[in-house]
Amino acid sequence: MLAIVSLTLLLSIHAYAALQPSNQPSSVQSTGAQDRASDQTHPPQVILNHPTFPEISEQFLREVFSGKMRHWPDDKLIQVVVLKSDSPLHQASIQLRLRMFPYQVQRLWNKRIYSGRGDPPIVVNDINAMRAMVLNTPGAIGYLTPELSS
Amino acid sequence: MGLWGCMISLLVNAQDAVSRPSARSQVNSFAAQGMVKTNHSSYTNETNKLSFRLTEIGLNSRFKINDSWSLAGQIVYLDVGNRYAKGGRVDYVFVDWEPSLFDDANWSFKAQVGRVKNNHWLYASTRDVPHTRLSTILPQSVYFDGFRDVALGSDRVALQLVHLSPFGTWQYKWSYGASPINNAQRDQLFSPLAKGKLSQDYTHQMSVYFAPNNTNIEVGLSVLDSDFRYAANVAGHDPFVNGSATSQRVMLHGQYFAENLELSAEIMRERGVFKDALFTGFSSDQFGDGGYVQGRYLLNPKHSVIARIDLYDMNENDRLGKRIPLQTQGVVPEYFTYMDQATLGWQWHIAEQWQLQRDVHLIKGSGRLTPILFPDPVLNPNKYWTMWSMQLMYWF
Repeated sequence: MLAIVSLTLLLSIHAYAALQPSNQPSSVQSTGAQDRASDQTHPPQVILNHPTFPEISEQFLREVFSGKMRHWPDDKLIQVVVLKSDSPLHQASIQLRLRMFPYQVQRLWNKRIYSGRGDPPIVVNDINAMRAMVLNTPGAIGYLTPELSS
Repeated sequence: MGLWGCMISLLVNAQDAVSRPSARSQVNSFAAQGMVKTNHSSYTNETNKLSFRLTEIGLNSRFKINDSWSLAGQIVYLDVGNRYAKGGRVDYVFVDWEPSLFDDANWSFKAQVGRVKNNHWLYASTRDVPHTRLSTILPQSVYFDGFRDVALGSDRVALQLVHLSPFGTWQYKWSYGASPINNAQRDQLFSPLAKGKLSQDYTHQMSVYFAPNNTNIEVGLSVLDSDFRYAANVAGHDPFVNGSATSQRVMLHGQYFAENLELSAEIMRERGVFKDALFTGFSSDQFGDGGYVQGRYLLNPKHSVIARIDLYDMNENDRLGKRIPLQTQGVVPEYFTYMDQATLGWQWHIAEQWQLQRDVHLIKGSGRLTPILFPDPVLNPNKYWTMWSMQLMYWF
C-alpha cells in the first residue's frame, strides 16, 4: 500500500510539473537560433561524435534511431540525441532522412523504454543544444539543418 | 521477495535521474485511470454497472553499469476488474548484456537474464502500458487476458540477434523460462473451486521478424511451446486430480506504417492438450485459431481513430460450438467456444505525455472469458454483448 501511495504521489507531482510552463534552462544554453525544417531537396543532415565510423548506411541510421542498433563497431555506446517530437526539424529528419514517421519512431522508443530494452534518447530543446550535446557526448548522434551541419 | 528487493535497489539508485536524461540511471513511469461498462457479460464485473476498475500504474528504472551491461526493472499495479488478478507485480527485472560481439556494424546481439518480457508478439511486451496500445483492451484472440500473467514474460533468459542484410533488417529472438502462477491466477485460469497448485514447467518461444529495406513494413513468425502441471490438494478436499496441459502456438505478425495510416495484424493457430486434472482419465486435444486486423487513421496530430476486427474459435473442428451443449448436458451454451469482436476507438493526444482513449466493443460469443474450464452462463447469458471504456493516461 505504501508503495502505491508513494508512486501515486510521485506521478501526481510529475504530472503537475509537466503541465506547467517551463522556466528551466536547457542543459546546454541556446543562442536563439531557429529550429527550421528542411525540405525534400535539402534534407536534414546527420551529425555524430564518432570519427572512426565515417560511412553510415541509411539502414544503419534507421535502426540506430529506432533503438535496435546501440553500439558503434568499436563497442562504444551510441547516444541518440533528438529534438522534441513537435519540432519541425525532428519531423523532417525522421521523414526525409530516415524515411520513417515520427509517431512510428516514438512507438518503437516507447516499446523499448517500457519493456526495459533500452534507454530513451536525450531530448534537447533546440538546434544549438543539439549541436552542443552531440559535440560534448562521445558516441552521440543527432541531426541539424544542412547549413548548420556544415 | 528477491525480485522486489532488486526493484527497490534499482529505484533508490535512480532517484535523481528523472530530470537528467544522460544520467547512468533512467526512471520512467505511467499511470492511467479509466471507466468501463459491459452489458450482459462478467468480463469486467458481475453487476454490469459502470466500473472504475481500470487502473494501470507502473514505474521502471534502468541502471547502466557500463556500455555493455545494464540492470532494468519495472513494478506495476493493476486493477482491471475480472480480467485478471488485482494487485502489484514485478513486471520485469533482469540483467541486460549487449556487447559488441561482431566487428561489423551490421550485427547486434543482446542477452537478458532474470524476469524477461515476451518480445515475440507485437504488443506483448507492453500490454499493460496504456499509451503503447491502440485500444484499452487488446484483441483477445491473441492477447487473452486470462493468460496475461503467463504470456507476459518468464523467469530465465532471452536472446536477440539483429542483422542488417542488403535486403532488409532481420531480428531473431529466443526465450526460455517459466512464469510463477499464484492462487488468484489459478482460480481465474482454472477454477475458483481449485485447491491445488497450478504451475508452469516451461515456456519456450522463438520468433523471426523481417523489415525490407526502404519500406515501413515488418512481418514476423513466432512459435511457442509451454507445459503446465496441476498438483491436486487431496488433504484440502480438492475436487480436481493431478493433471497436465500443453499449449502450443504458431503466429504470423505484420505491421505497416504510412503518414496517416497504421495497419497491424496477427493471426495464430494454437493447440491445447489436457490430461486428467478434471477427473482421472480426462483427455482433450484440440486446435483453435484466431486473429485480428486493425487500422489507425491519424486525423491530425492530436486525434486518431481506430477500427479492428478480432475473431477467435476455440475448436477449429467445431467452430459453432455445437458439441459443447451435448458434452455438458446443456449447461454450457455454444457461444462459449468462440468470441468475435468489432472495436471502434478514438485517441485524443491532449498534450505531451497525456492521452485520452475511448473504445466501443461489439462482441459475439464468450470464448475468451475466465475461468476457461468452468464458464459461467448465468453471468453471461447472451451470445451478443457490448462494452465501452474511456481511459485517461499520463506517462514520462
